[in-house]
Amino acid sequence: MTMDLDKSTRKPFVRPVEASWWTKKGFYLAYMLREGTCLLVLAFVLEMLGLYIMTALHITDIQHMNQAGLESLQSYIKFLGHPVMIAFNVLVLIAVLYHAFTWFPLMPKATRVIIKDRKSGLYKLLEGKYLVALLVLAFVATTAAGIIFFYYPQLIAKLLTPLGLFEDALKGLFGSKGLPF
Amino acid sequence: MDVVKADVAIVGAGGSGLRAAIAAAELNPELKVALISKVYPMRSHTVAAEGGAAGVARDDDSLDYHFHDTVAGGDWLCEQDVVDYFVHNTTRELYQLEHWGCPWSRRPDGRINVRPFGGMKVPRTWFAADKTGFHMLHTLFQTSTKYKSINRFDEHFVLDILVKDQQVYGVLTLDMQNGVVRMIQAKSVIIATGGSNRCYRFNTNGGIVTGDGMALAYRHGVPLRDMEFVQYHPTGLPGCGILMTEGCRGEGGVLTNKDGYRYLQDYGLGPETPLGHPKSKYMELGPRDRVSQAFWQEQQKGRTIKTHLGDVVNLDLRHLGADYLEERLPFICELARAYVGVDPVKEPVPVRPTVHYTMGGIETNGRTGTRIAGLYAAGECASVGIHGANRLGSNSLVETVVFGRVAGEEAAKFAAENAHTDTEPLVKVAQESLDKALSVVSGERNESVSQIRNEMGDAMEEGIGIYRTEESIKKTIEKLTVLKERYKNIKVNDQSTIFNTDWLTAIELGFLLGNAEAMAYSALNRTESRGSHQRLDYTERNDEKFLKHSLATYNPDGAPTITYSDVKITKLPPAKRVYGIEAENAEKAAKEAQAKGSSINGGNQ
Amino acid sequence: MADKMKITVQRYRPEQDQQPWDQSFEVEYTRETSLLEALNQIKDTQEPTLSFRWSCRMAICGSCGMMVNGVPKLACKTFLRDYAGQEMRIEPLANFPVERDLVVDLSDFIEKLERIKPYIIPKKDEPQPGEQREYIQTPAQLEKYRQFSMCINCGICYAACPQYKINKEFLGPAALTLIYRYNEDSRDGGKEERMKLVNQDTGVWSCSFVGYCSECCPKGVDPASAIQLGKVESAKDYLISMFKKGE
Repeated sequence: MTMDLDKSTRKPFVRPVEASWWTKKGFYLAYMLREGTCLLVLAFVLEMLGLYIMTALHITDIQHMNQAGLESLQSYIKFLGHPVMIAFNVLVLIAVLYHAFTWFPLMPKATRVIIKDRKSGLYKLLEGKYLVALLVLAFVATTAAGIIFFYYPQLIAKLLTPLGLFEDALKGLFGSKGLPF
Repeated sequence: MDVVKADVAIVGAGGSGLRAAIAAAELNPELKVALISKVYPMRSHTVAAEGGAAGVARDDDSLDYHFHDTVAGGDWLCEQDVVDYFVHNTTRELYQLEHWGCPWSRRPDGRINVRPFGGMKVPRTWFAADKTGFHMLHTLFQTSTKYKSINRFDEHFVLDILVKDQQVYGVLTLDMQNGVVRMIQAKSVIIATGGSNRCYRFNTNGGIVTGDGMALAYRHGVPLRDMEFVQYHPTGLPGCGILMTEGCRGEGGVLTNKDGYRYLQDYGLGPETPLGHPKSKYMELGPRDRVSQAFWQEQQKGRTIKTHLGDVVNLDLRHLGADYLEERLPFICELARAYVGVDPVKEPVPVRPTVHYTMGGIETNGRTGTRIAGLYAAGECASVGIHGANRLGSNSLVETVVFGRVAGEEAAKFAAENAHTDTEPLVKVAQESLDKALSVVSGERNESVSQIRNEMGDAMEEGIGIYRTEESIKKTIEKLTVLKERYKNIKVNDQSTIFNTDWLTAIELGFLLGNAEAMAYSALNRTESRGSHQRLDYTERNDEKFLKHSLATYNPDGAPTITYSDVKITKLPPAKRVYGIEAENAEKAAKEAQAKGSSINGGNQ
Repeated sequence: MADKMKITVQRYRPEQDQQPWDQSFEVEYTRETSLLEALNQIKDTQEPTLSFRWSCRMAICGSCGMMVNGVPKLACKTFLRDYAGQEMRIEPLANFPVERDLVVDLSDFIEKLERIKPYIIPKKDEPQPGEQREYIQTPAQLEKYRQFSMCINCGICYAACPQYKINKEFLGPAALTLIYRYNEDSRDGGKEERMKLVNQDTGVWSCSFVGYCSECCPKGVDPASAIQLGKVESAKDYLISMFKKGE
């Protein structure tokens, strides 16, 4: 036998990583799609922000909106009524539902439920009371959002200021002295 | 040739090897410990042990009971002083594993739980569900990473131990990944390579359990002791041989034949115990040799079940319920579902006896030392003397840590007292060994490794199975002789140096053939029936002639020489080995005799 | 009756080959035949130079991880019957360098397991039990980490993990799971040391929760869960350290 056992002939082969690796497996593709939904959600947030700016920036006092505000709001609503925008919103809804449903089986992994000395699952704990959980969650989320948006518009404005957005509009709203906080 | 110097070299990194390494590192952190294994440590076959490890833990148990169960279970072929040391150290070692993180199953109050096992008077089997060996091995491996002085040589195949003038000086290894030979010069060497059950075709063992260490010690003149005692585990899956732990029966599982009858009551293990209420030493909690033999008897009577995977009986666990099975025997459920398509919750599991354990092994003294200075052996590869003619379930897992530790400490002491010798002459010895190993693969040859291996496995099953006769053993010996001759002409196709498993399996086959011969000749010469060695032509135990260890000594050209050595009896003189109601009656009689004033050893404390 | 299966195995012989190539075999199989048995059948009767790791045959030693039609699996727990009517393509475990045929270089994985201090580090302020006594650990305390102690180190989760695929510095599923296993053990006092590794860029925050590791784990360890729980711990750690800085 002609083996040379004094010098190593080792030559590991490192397989290259293809850029398209995530398209080769359903599981990876599903994951990438879920991650991708964030882009649509971002666009949707901008859409909502537009709505907010069109209205909140023209509120003269807490109950009333000035004429300019009403007009810009109407034009924005018209813009939203465009078939392209409706299609976009349907797409966002599908994306969000996709995210929610594929996230559903993953979420319990971040929790640890032990009942009677044995591991149990988060959903087992809820025992099918998903609707209740969902309603509670929706109530809490909308209340919190409502409070923030309608009682603290300045806070939102402040958050936007560093981005240099809407500076003029804000100045118009709060006077040339700048922001009141 | 690459040369590495160490103080202690340990061959094998299963339970015993890892425990030895830690013991050596703790006793003397100055010593360099080389831990060598042909696989990564967590692949070692300790990993497959399921049921548990024995250690006296309950208030109603005693060291004397453990001693008595072990010696009687071994049909009095145990070294009683060694058993005594063993039972005194099991619990300490198991607690040590607990301190290292082993996830033992617990009682509600947070203390260790124990389960009953076969041949045990009081439940004393510590368990981690049904993956005890797995958890012990991983605990030991992970703990071993704490010690800087332990230097691992993973995937290093040991080709030979280096012996000169009856002293060991290291080992010759093949680094499988790099394809280079590496001599590890050491002052002391521990062999901890496990059993040799791959001599048989159907076994519960992994492919790596090829008795390498046994064969190496054997070839260097250390006798293999009590090799005829090969344990058939009563409950392996048909076809693949995968183990269904004795814990199944410990938890209350029962064995039934084709008529649904609990046949063990017909073989000195009865009377029948109520379903779901296992009773120590009764019925399904009889010792392994007896339960396996009962299967053979049933088979002769035509009362086993015929399947396309051979004859089986049923292991019925259904009455334990899904929840309890999921808690206590989850792995069993997983295995049965995957490998025979049976859900133990709903159906009985088909099982048959399967080769499981080599009771014999490298002859050592009670401190794991061999006849070669500096060479120690521990675990299944060794015959330290605690298993006798039949090992009790859960004694071997704890043996790995009790005697692994002893070996580690003894080898460390020896290494500290001795200096390294010149390397050059050792390299020469190593080169000779290497040439021998390489000679297996040179020249024009035509015999197939797998064919010889299969024929050996079948011959061993046929001739040296649960029951043996002179005729059957002789037939197997003839076959082995032919196979050894054919082995000289074995063909290795693979010429690569990197992960050349073709070559290594050929070398392993050489190890197995030698060990098989030691088993066969030891079995032929023991003309009595004792424990797992049952002769149909000599059905009785013969203490006068055979209360002795068999010693198989290697002869390079031809059959091993079989001689005998004495068995150390300290406090429990040989008596009839009884289980079931017979045992209870015998115990009563003994108690009465004791009450009358005579002194009987080995009873209550 | 035995059926037939075409099995294509990716071969790589370091001394002869510049890159891997395919070799196909036909094997007979029955209901019980595992992929491991089929490979052994190939090695014994058709191609003795085919190299692969294996030992226990019962899904506990962790040796025989390999890619089966692109999915990382244990060969011994993969059955040909489940691929009836298809072909099987076997490759070495993904994301590891190939040493030869189906044998991969696991040294990076093993080194990571060792790096995380996978052993009990006794608590400094609590006495340890004596030689003949255990730590008290209730079944509920055991349950907190039990599942995460079931890892057989087969490396399948690393082959499943896209993060490990693109960043070999990532500690990876099994090592992070092992950290969580010891951190949650009521006997252990080493959490603070191990959290340093968890908090690093190469720790839990390299995980983007693809979840395929848990999908492929042959022992139901659910490493993705251990990592997400590790993120919770890491976040807590971060908050606490913010308060500590303020002191």
